[in-house]
This record gives sequence, C-alpha cells and structure tokens, in this order.
Amino acid sequence: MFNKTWQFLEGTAGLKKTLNGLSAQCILYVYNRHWRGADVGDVRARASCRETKETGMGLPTIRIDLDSTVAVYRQIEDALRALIVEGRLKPGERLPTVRQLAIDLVVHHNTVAEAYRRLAAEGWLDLGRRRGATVTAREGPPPTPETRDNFVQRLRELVAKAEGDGLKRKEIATIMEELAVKERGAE
Amino acid sequence: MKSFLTMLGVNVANLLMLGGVLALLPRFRRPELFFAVTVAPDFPTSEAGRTIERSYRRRVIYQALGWFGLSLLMAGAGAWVGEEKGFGQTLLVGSIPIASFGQLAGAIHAFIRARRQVLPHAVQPSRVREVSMTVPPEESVGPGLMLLRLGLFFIIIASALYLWLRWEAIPARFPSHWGVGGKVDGWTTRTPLAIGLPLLFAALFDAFLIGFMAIMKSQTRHIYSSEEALKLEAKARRAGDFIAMGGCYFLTILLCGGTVWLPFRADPSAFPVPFVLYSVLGGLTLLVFLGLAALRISNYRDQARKAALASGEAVAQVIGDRTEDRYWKWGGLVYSNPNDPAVWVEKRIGIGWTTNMARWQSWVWLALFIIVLPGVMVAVALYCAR
Repeated sequence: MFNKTWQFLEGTAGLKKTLNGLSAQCILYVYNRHWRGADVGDVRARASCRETKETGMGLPTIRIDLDSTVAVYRQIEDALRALIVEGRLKPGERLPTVRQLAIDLVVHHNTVAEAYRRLAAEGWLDLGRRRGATVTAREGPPPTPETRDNFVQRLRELVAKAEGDGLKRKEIATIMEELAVKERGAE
Repeated sequence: MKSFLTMLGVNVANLLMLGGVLALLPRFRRPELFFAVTVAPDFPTSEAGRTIERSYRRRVIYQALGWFGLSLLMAGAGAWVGEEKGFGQTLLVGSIPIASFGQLAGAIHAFIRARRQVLPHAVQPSRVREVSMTVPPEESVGPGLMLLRLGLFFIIIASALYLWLRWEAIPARFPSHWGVGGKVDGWTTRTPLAIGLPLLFAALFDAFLIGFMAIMKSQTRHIYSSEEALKLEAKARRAGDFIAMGGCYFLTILLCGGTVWLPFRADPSAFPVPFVLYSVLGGLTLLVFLGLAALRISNYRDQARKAALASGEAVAQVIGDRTEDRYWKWGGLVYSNPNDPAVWVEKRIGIGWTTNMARWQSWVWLALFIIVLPGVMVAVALYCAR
C-alpha cells in the first residue's frame, strides 16, 4: 500500500515540485514530528510568529503543550530550531536564560537546559557561561545520499499515516507544494 | 481627653485607609483570578460573581466597624484610667494595633469564605503555554526610575552632610519621642551613632527595597507572549516599582526630616505637630496611592489579556497566572508547588509577591523576613530606648 501511495504521489507534478523545493522548514517538520516518534496530528507544540497590526510580524514565540505525548524538552527544542531555521531568530540574538524560560513555562530548569544543550550540540546555539544562550550562524552540512534516502522513507510513512487519518492524496500533495512554495518565497 | 481625641483621629484614619484597601481587594486581581481561584473571565461580572464580591465587602465593612468600636472603647478606657499610668498607656496605644490586626484578620476570614463560594466555579487553566523568545523589554531601568532611586540617597547624604556641618549646634541631649498625650518620654544624646542611626536605617531600608524590587522583576513570570501584552505587563511592573518608591520616599523623608529638624527647634520639648501630621497624612496619602496604583496595575493586566486575545495568542483562553489552584493552600494565600521553578510568584490577591514554599530558597527568604529584619528593628528600638 505504501508503495502504491508513493508511486501515485511521485507521479503528480505537485510532489515533484515539492521534492525539488523542499526546504529546511519542511524537512524539520517531518524530522521533528515523525522521525522522532511524535504523532502526525500533534501540531500544538510548535513555533509561532503571529502578525501584529503595528509591526506586521509578531515576536518569535514558542508554544508547549503539557498534555502532549511529546516530551517538553523536545517541544522546546523543535520550536526553537524552527524559529532559527525560519530566520525569526537571527545569529547573535540572545535568548532568555534557562531560569527565565523555565519560570515562564512553569517547567523544571533541567528541561529547558536539556533543550538548549541539544540545540547547542547541533550547532544552533552558543551557550556562553556569562552571556547565556545566543543564536549562532550555522552552515548546514551538505546533504548526503543517506540523508535523502532517510527523508524519502520517512516522508513515505508520513503520507501513509496522513492518508490513514483521512487526508486525500491530492490534498497531501497540495499541502506539500504550498509549504515548498511558501519556503521558496521566504528565501 | 486630648489623648482620646488623638487616638480617635488615628483610628478613624486607620479605618478609612485599611478598611478601604481591604474592601477594594477583589478589584486588584488578575482578570481570570477571583478570590485566588482561576475562573472564566466573565464570571466576576456575572450575577453570582457580583453577589460573592458584595457579600465579601459587606463582611469586611461590618468587621472593620466592629474592630473600630472596640478600639474606641479601649482608647476611652485608657483615657479614663489615665495615660500617665502604665495600663492606661497600654490601652491607649494598644487600640491602634488591635484595630489594624482585627481588620486584617476579619478581611482574611471574609476572603476565605468568599473563596469557598467561588471554588465550585473554578476552571482548569490552559495547559498550553506560549512564551516570547526575545529578552523582555522591561529589564532595563528607565531614567525616571533611576533618578527617583538616586533622589532617595541624595536626601540621606544631604541630611548627613547638614548634620555634620551643624554638629556643634546639636544639643547634647534633646527630646526625640512623645507619649500619646504629648509629653516627652524619650531622649537622644548627641553621639554619631544615635544621630546617624535613622539615616542608616533609611539607607538600609531603601537599598533593601530597591534590591528586592529588582529581584522580583528579574524573577517575574511572563504570562502573555504577544508584543503589546508584554509591553502592558511591563507597565504594570513599573507601576509596582513606583509603589515601592512611594514607600521609600515616605520613610526616608520621615526619618531624615525628623533627624534634621528635631534637634534644632526653638523649643525642643514642644510636641512636633508637623512631624505627626506628616506621619498620619503621609501614611494616608501613601495608602491611597497604593490603592490607586493597584487598580492601575489590575487595569494594565486586563488590557494585556485583551491584547493577547486580539493578537491571536492561543493560550489566552483561561490562563490565570499559569499556576494551578490546587497548589494554593490555606485559603489561596500560601503557594507550594514542587514543579514550579519560581521562588517568588505573584500573590493571587493582586498586590505583592509570595514565595513558593516547595523550594528551599523560600525558607531562606522567610528567615530573612521573620528573623533578620525584625531583629534589626528590635535592636534599633532597644538602642533608641536606652
């Protein structure tokens, strides 16, 4: 069934475009939600940037859901990474301290510290002892064939799950195309 | 009779100030908190909410009047016995704390009763939490506040300098305390410590309160995350800073003014009427200022919630103060949540902060407030009485 679905989708022009134009946001979306075991429908924990009347673009915010099946540190990590990848948090920008973020979210310090540590290990953050966490200018590594294969494999699983949850194949293709177009526009 | 009238005046002022603030207490809350319970935003203005608030206010007023009556009886008995006798003096002076603590205890009782009535209407605060990842703008201290802070120490230093320059003109011994009837019952000798102690106390008090406010600001939880809401919350915090400044100025002027003025009067034994008037009227003004500022803070928080809703902040459904009701014990006055990293949290009554008793740091703070600060004050009082 997976193969059939994949073949169908691969045949559509929309998916081809999407695969060609898949950018960081889409990759991250799949990576965060599915590669690491979160539910497809769980989009509550995410980065959000609301538009405001005054500035046209709201402050970069992260949102966590304490009732989600995804661990809180992972929700913070995923949301922060998305903000950095989208360019909402610029290199050199200072983030709230571990203590402040923990107080604001009403979670343990270690939960926030773990999220910051993992992002620092990936090269997204610089954890200075005195100045706190700052966003770093990170050059993404060139994608290896293995990366692409893994991504395609996960994407296939995601599509199957989405289809199982009631989404139509055409609809899935359209969504992915829209995501890619939006990301290209942002670039 | 004179002493009775003095006590009557003080007790009337006490009734108006404290009773007024306590009766207004439910208006100082955050928009979704009502008698320390998380409720739907429209509940406090519903018929049930209004009935509970009215019933609370009625109880506070009746109890305040009852305690006021008792304090008058005490003052009358004290005046009848005679202020020169120890027991009479105790009755006269004791009428003030009796009225104050009585009103406070009555208000706490009324508050707890009202809370019980609100609890069936409690709602679960949102489990979705959203925060801004930009460093909040209110961390920097504005020039106005900085000038106000410096002004305090300017007054203290100027007073010290004045006393130093006129040191020889200070009498070797002069009256510094008067009884209820206006008779001198305390003296101060001209030693650097005795003269400088009130100034030192003012400086320590100001430094402590400024430091405390800075710590509170850095530890405060941000409830909303949209730009406009954050700005309004910052304004509310700044209003809190100005309340603290009001308290600092009142005490600094009282202590410095007394130290600079009392030794150089033409008749040092005369009852210092302007000084007493300043204490009573200044205290009254300060409490009115506190009440108005608390209403303003509540208004800012209300606006912040509206701004958060307008910006589409998903968590701005029912959020309260991001703490859950079950962690607020003893009538919603004591907070103990082991899952909360915050040591200091906003009081649910709307004015001030309280400690999270599940964290060990809270006990250190408590020790500081219960042992160290009163210890210093007792030491100062003992030294002055010597």
